[in-house]
Amino acid sequence: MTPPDSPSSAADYRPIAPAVAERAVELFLAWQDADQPGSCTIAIARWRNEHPEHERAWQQIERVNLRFQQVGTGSVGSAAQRALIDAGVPRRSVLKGMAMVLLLAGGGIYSQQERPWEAWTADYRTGMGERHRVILSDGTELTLNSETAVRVVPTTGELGIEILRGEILISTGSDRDTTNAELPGMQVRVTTDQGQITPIGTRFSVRQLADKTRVGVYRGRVRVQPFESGHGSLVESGQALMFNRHGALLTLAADETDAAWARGMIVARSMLLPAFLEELSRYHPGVIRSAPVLRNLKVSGTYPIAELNPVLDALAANLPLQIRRVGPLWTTLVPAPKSL
Amino acid sequence: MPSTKASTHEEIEHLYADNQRWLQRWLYQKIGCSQRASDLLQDTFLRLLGRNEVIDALEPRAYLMTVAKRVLIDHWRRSRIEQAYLDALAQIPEAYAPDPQEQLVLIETLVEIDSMLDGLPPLAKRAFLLVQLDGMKQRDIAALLGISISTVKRYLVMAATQCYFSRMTSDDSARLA
Repeated sequence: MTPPDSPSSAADYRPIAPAVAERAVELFLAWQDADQPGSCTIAIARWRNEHPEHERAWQQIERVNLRFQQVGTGSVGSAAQRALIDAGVPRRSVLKGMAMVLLLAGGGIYSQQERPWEAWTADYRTGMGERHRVILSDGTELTLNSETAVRVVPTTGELGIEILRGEILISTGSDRDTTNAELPGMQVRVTTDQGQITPIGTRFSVRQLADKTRVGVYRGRVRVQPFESGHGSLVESGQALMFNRHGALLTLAADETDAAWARGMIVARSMLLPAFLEELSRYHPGVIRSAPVLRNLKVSGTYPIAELNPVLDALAANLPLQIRRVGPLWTTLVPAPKSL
Repeated sequence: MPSTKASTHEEIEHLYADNQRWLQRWLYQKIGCSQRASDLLQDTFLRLLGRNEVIDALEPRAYLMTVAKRVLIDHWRRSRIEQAYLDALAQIPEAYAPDPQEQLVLIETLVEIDSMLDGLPPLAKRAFLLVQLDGMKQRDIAALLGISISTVKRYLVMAATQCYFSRMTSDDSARLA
């Protein structure tokens, strides 16, 4: 079973056989070094198709490479590269490191022309409690919730958004102010571990859970295509769909307050206390839990994500419970002592 | 292991109650700043919580010490990288400098890369970074570092194997699996 508190661990960490790893490394290095990568590309595609383990090894390489892409090129990239090299050498060789920078900086310009895919491939990440909003090249607005990682791959006429973990909210171009629509609309395609989601002029959120995906639609509609299902589903505005690789699991009601996190809020409407605490835990390190006897209490209201204490204080003020803390990491809600 | 999450959390909470004093003192002796020692203490227990595994309670002190040491090593790695990065950044025009939020993300990434390459021979690490970050060809790296192309190849295979695949066999990820 997947650890329940790591909904983000989409990656498969079973060890790769050394022979497979060795071959993957060999192919990858040859491809990077080739002056004409074309023939390598074909060999790689063939090898990946031969066996699921080959594919898994290759994806492992790509996953790690996201980190390198994130370092970037240009002067910022070279400062970062130098940090990696300097940090590894004793103080007195730093001078030697400085000569290195000039060479690296020169190489940076060179590599931008030589490896154009680096410029196309963006990558965004947030840590726990962070939120990040970006406007993509075609005007699509992408908001990342806490502990989220996405890769954005624009190709001809299409904008691919791959969720590696976490949750995003998307407003596509056609949903916003149309008087300002000088940017050509691109077809957005969101990919999770379980399938693909394509919107039709819309505002929607996608969350990668441990072994399923949740899609909530707030305006417009989206098409969901699970990877191993013959037919997809349409999700209309006001609906949320849970699905896995094999098909739809269940449909729920959805509304804009589900995506209140994008404005730094949790909106609760008669939410059971344990569910509320679980939601709150996504934004704060440590353990937040309640005594079993409190499990049927209901929480309503709008709560800020950024700070934990005011939220806990508000709960204690409105519900028959009190807060018990052990160090900064353990918070337990227990029944309040009976008043007179 | 379905119902173990809550009980593991409780177990770690007890470990915290029983051991936080000496562990905080030990961390303080290592870094000489009580605020930081207390941050690292929290990091140590956060790491235990993140693993969500049953802890062998026979030797809790030894176990905690092992985890705390790793936290400490990561802390030193981070400050080393951060300093080196800020030093390097001080030398480029301010207009090109990334904003503070981007810098934080970048430093995180650098720390991650550095730990993936930990323990490699310095030249292997450098050769690998030159390929991955800068797109240099093997022959150019050989010329730059003054070593043969076959040595460059050998280093790259060594670094790539460790960087891409060693974590999948290390005990940390074996626990996750």
